[in-house]
Amino acid sequence: MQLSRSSSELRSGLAAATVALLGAAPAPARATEATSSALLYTEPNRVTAFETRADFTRQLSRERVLRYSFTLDALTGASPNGALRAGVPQTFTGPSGTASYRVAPGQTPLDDSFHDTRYAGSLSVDLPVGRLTTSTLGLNLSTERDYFSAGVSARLARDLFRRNTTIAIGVSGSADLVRPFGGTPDPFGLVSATVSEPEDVTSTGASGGFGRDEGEGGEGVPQGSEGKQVADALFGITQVLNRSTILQLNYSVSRATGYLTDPYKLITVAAAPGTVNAGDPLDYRYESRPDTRFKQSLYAESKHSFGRDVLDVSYRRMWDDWGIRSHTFEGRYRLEVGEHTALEPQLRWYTQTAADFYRHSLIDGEPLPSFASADTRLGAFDAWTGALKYSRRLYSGHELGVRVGYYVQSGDSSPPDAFGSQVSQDLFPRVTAVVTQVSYSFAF
Amino acid sequence: MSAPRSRPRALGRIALLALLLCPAPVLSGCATLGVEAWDRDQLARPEMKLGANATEDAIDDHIYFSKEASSGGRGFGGGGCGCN
Repeated sequence: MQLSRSSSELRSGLAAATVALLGAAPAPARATEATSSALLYTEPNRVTAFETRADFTRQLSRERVLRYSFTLDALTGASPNGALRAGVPQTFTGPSGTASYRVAPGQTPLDDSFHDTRYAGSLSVDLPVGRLTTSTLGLNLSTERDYFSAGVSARLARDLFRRNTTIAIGVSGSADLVRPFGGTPDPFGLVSATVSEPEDVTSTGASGGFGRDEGEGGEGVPQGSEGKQVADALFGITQVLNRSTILQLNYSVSRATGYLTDPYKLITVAAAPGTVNAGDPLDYRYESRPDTRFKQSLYAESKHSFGRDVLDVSYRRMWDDWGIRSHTFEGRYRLEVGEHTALEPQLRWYTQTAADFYRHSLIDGEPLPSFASADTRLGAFDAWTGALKYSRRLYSGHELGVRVGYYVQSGDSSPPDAFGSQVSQDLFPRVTAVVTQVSYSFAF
Repeated sequence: MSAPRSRPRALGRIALLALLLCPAPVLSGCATLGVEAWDRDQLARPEMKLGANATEDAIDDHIYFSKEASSGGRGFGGGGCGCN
């Protein structure tokens, strides 16, 4: 009986192999692979984002591949408004210009008025251009209440040396539209100008106008619009090093022009050193960033197979003309445990220097700089991510994945240029986040 | 102010120059590397493909784009969101 079953399996296996060789089997290449994912991103007492997305890959023919994806993002919670912690209570007005919120002494000023939903979609197609060259054309769209982005991309890749080397060149461009709630703030506009005393605004700085352009809409309605354009180019080479190692190197440039300021971020105007309340907030201004940014990056990634396990390491060096330089190291190890299960620890370390115009506060009475932002995302900090992914292959190519990660970002809480009451405050509060992702892949 | 900014610019120029001038020797070096088609058993596994986890990469890029000042590198720069 045992022998008979084995013979039967052997026969059916041989039959399947023969049919496959003859090409009579239904072409699996025509199948569509789908991955659906749900993500929960939570910063304690701050923002919570829920994202669902679906990615599809359809093999139209041997060399024609269609990819498309849909994303839905929902964001709630509070986001730092850029102002510093202070030893005194602080009151702010939300972007709508009417609702206000109060921040207790020693607490990070958080604006909890952001609730947005983002819808995004992408489409790309691989088309052969000759036997060894493939072109990829792509389209991206993304919309949320105060932001819209449309982008196109094109990539050309050519295989060389028995397909052990692939060189690629790609370009992409996007046109974005920013429609801030409450209108576009003037660069360095005084926040108090939009709140209680608009008639009191004087030309104490670069901007003597109202804090925000006045629009037609009411509370919570995006008003006005600002444009932003991004052009990217990428040069890449992928090389098979040996039977179990592959290496990729990319050099990319990116130029952004237009409205690059964050319309919701403020910067504290602090009482000058030597005054009675030195360091305390006197007022707040909207931030102001340059309207161009040129970034470059070098990226290297290598995968190595240790039998069934796979090590994936990458490094990115980024620098730009805002003075930001960063290093990113990332490593993942896919460990096969059992026949259908894999565990993947992931570790990432990131460090960046501050933008030239980053400052934690402005000083009352001093002339305004050309640009300034207190957005800590433009400050100097380090960040760690640790994650563990569990994946299990189910039946017929179905696969379930669960990933839980922890992100922590920390900068200089006591910068040397802090003064007065600022010295006793944490000027770069740590950011922590828990990321939970569930994904399910299948073919149909 | 100009000193710290000139270094990355110089680095950028060197990198660009290297990429523009070096394809020939680099590519001739590449010609000696690699494997024959029948030795691709390991490389053909789905998890060995670069970008094998495109969904995960896209999610990560979106998170880091909204929390840090760097983006892109692996592919195009990401973005397309207000990410406040």
